[in-house]
Amino acid sequence: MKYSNALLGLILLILISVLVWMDPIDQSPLFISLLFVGLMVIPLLLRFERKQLGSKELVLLALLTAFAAVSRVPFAGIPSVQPTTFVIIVAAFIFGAESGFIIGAGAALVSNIFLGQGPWTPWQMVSWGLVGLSAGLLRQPLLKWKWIRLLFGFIWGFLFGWIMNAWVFLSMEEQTLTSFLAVYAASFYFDLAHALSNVFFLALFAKTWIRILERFKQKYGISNVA
Amino acid sequence: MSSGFRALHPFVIFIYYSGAILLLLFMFHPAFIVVAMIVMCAVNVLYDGGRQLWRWKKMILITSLLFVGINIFTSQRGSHLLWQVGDHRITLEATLYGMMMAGTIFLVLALFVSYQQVLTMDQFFYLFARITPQWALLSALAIRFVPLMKLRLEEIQKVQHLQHRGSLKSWKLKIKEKMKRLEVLMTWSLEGGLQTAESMKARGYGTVKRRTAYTLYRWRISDFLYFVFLSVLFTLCIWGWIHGLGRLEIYPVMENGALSMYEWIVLGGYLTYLSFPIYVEIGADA
Amino acid sequence: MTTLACKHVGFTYAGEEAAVLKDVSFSINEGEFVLLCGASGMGKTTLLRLIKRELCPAGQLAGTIFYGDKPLIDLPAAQAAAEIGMVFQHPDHQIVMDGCLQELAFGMENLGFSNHVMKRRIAETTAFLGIESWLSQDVQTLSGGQKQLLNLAAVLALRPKLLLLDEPTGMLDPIHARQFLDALKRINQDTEMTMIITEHRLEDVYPIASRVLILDQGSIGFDGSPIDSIQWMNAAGTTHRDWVPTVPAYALQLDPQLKSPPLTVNQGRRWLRKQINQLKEAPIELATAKAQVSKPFISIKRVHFGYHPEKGVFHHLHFQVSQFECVAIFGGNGSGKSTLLQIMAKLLKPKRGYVRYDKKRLQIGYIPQNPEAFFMHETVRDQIQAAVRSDEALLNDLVADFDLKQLYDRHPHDLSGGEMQKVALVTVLLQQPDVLLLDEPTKGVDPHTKKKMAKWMQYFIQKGRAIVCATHDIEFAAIVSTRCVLLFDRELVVSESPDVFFADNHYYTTVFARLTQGHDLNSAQLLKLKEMNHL
Repeated sequence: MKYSNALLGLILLILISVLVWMDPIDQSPLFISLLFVGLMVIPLLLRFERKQLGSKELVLLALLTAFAAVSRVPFAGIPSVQPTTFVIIVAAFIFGAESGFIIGAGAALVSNIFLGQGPWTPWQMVSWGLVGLSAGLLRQPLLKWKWIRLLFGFIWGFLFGWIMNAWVFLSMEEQTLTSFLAVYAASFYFDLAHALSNVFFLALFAKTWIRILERFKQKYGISNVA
Repeated sequence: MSSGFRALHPFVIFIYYSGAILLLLFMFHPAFIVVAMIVMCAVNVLYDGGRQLWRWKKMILITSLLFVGINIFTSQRGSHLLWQVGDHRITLEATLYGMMMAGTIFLVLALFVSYQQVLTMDQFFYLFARITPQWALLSALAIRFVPLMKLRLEEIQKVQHLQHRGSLKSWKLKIKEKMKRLEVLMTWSLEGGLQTAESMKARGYGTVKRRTAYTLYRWRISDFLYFVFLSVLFTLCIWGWIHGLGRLEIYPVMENGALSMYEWIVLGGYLTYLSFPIYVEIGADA
Repeated sequence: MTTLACKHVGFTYAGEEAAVLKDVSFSINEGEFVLLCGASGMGKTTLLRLIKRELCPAGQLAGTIFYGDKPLIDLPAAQAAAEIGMVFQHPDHQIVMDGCLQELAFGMENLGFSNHVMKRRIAETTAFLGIESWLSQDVQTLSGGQKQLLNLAAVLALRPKLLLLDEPTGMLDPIHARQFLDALKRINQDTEMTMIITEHRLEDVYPIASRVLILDQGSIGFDGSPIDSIQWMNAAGTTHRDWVPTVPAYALQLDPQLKSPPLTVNQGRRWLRKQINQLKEAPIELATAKAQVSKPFISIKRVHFGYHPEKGVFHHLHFQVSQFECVAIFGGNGSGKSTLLQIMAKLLKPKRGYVRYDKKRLQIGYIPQNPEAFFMHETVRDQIQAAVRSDEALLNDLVADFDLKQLYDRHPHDLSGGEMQKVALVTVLLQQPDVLLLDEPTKGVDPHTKKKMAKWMQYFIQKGRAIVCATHDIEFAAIVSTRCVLLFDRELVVSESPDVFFADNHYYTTVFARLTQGHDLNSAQLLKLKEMNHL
């Protein structure tokens, strides 16, 4: 487990340095998206592949991934309000960091099959993947406390938006402080809506959902998926 | 229908799409983008009359306006003044850049729409089952569950609708109802999933270390030739890109939009690469 | 040669005190078709899972199970997976892949078969079952019955020697269930494959089973031929007696001392011919209670509806439901039974025409085809109690009659198909709607419970309410309905009282009608027979 955490940290470091090092306009700004997700996902992919998962673990992960993606459907009409982030947090809380990452990244990929695949997909994969990863890492003992859980959801509402803004910013021609601020200011209300809806979902539904998932964890006979 | 482009070895199809996405992201020049837009639309029309692509019209429109808008709003660089609002300059350069970006995003979307129609789950599975069997199965399962869950969601909604017909006024109750719907869907699906897992186990999943694959795609000489053909075109385009072809220099002075001879050659290669599905398909029909 | 033998097998689930199975011993020879019976909760599924080694639940196992002459535990994993096959109840949940061909190959891929072998086995299996035509289809486009055949084919492709079937037709309508069982019979006869099946639909299994095992109180209560088992059940008290299939049940009611009762309609007709003279003349008193005529609750006029405009489901449809009515809707798969229910509930909006209710707030209760969608609460207790509208007495009656106390703490999705239907019906009865719309309410329901469902539905309409019920279950509809409707080719072809409807039909009719049609019986004799009507 320690080894994997170190590995994940390393990947993050590489990603950030790549972003800093590359001059996005001269290269292709959108190409970076692809590189970004490649660096992020491939090591995890290989790690996951090396584990021999049983049929139950495999089905469970696939189900939760599909579910997190489909949970966007009933809320399709309202911008930035969707329970996907909530579902990922709750799932990661029960099944751990790596499962959280897989469910998060997978949910982005799968949901965009019906919501439109584009240059934003890799960024969504990374954002939601990190939501799951961090929720899994912090579950003991921090996220046990309701208030910290709510705060966590609130912060991720903004963080998610900020990561997504990064690609909009990178694809703009003029990357100055004013344009940066312009993008981030423009998205403020959307991010706020996302953050508040996370808090709302976590406050009202986390307890029930955690209980349900806990029941299935036992029913599936799974201690820790991945 | 399994002739033409779809009948090629999945590896060739996959290579085409991987190469295409890189080229679409790299080539940043109005002429290239316009050419690519025509070709991608044609590819989509070829497969389903463009019906799938048409579904995204609203989203494409909004994203395009957003990108052009943001650029005009934040960037004042460039010497060709189009309009002046107060002290904000709207320049040709900024507009052009925004439009090119919007075009590229459209292209990526269109490419994926056709990808989802061409590469079947089976072919995808074949490609990845050998390198990363677990991932391949995981994604196959997840993608299979999505339509199933959507159907179930509709069914649950119908029951809910009857139980409190129009009696939910406040937004809070409405959201609660939606979450209840999801909760029911979750237990239903997880309960069913348990049986799916058992059915996998009952049929020997995990007994043998290395799974085999039922579908075999024969690697024919033609596949090899196509592969070489695509590689050559791709290399040509990348060579051009490294030498600054297929990229419009906007600053400090906007490059003349006209293409040099070399650029014409690269554009030709680019066009030939992207329209690969079209002439393979037509060739198969003839 | 012995295929399977259980020697003093007992089993206790982890974390539970009481043993589900106490002392089960039997042995099965190659080629036998064994029907495993027993009321729910008697451990039928547990026993099957102990035999299907991969699915053995957590708990304490006593005794030994032998496969061939070796203990089951010593069997190599790949051999165990291939040679002991299992088909489950739910058609949807068993499917792993999204294409039929991939699904068929899945098991063989797991066991590392070569491509050549896989192709051959798939070709052979699908040809045998006659399912080649939909091989290239998406699984999602298949009907429930087709899915279950696919599941069977996927298991058969591994060439099992022993096939376990856990209520395989529980989620299917009677027509598809018949088809499925016919396929089993053919396999059993053509290949000498040993089969153990648990089933509710004894009607259709009895004629093909070669042996019956009845689990009772954790051990084998009866082990012998199907004919003898009927005698045993008939003598063993009401819960077992309700399981006796219709034809022998009629015969036994006429002559309780009958040694070998008829099993099929064919045998039944021959037997009845001999008995006719013995039926005494009875005074004719046809109590044709006219249903009170009242304004219709729901009227549908000139409705057009279709998912695909070119092949519409309905075309100029008229339909009405009134008080005191229980309408049974028949029709093949895809004839639009479920659609009609949803149009009545105003869940689907017709393209043309209208749906009118007699009052503004007409209460509608609806149980969809998949009862899972119906459950909004986490336990059966919550589910039922949330539905109570001030009528505690009704609640207690229903709970006692359906024996629901023992299910109270379970999650509704945790129940078997039949139990789900039961809980859903109780919930919706407690809500006391004006009109009740039921989609296949008897799917997977055992005969004992079915009888009770019929009783409560009759009680419900007597209170001045109405029921519309889409069903394939003819025997059930014959008891419960006051009107039968047949949907065919986008039209409502027939709408008449059940007596007329079933007397006129030749195939699509009750066992009773099939037994008596064409016999020279006067109405009094018919009536006498009919009073014994048995589910």
